[in-house]
Amino acid sequence: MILGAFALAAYSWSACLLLKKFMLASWLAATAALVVWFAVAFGSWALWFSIP
Amino acid sequence: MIVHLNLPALRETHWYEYLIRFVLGGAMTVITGLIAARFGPIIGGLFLAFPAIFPASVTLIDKHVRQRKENAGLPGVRRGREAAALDAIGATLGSFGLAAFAVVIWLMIELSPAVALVLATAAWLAISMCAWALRRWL
Repeated sequence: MILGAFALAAYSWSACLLLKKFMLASWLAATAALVVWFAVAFGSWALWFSIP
Repeated sequence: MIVHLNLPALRETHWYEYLIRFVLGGAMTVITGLIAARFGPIIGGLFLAFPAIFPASVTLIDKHVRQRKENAGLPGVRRGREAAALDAIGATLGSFGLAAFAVVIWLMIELSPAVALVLATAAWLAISMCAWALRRWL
C-alpha cells in the first residue's frame, strides 16, 4: 500500500500535467495516466523486492 | 484560500454520479480482495491505492464547471480542465497522507489493530494537511 500510495501520487500529478499543460480531455488524461500508476507501482515493487 | 463546506454543491451532483463512484469504489475493493487472494497481500496492497474513483470524479468536476460556464454564455472547456487539474493536485497531496497511513499501519498493526487504525487516520490527516499547507506556502 505504501508503494501504491506513491504510485497514486505520481498518477495524479501526471493527470494534473496532462490536464493543465496539454489540455487533454479529463477522461483521456485520467486514463492515459494509468500507465504511470502501473509503471511506478510495479517498478517500485520489483525494485523493493530485488534488494536482498 | 479558506477551506469551507459548500453544501449547495451537493445538489449539483445527480444520484447516478454518486452511484458511479460507489460502484467503482466497491468493484475495486472486490477486485483488490481477489488479487490479494490470488497473488498475495503485497500485490493486493498495491491495488488498495489504485485510482478507481479518481477518473469518475475528475470527469464529473470537469463537466460541472464547464456546464456552469456555458450556462453563463462563456466558453467553459479551459476552466473545466483547470478545475479537474486542481482536483488532481489535491489527490497528489492526499496520496502522501495515504502513504503515511500505510506506514503507521505497517509499523503498529501487530501491537493493536484498533490503535493502529486511529493513529494511521491521524497520520493521514496530519500529513495531508501539512502537504496542503506546504504547497500553499510555496
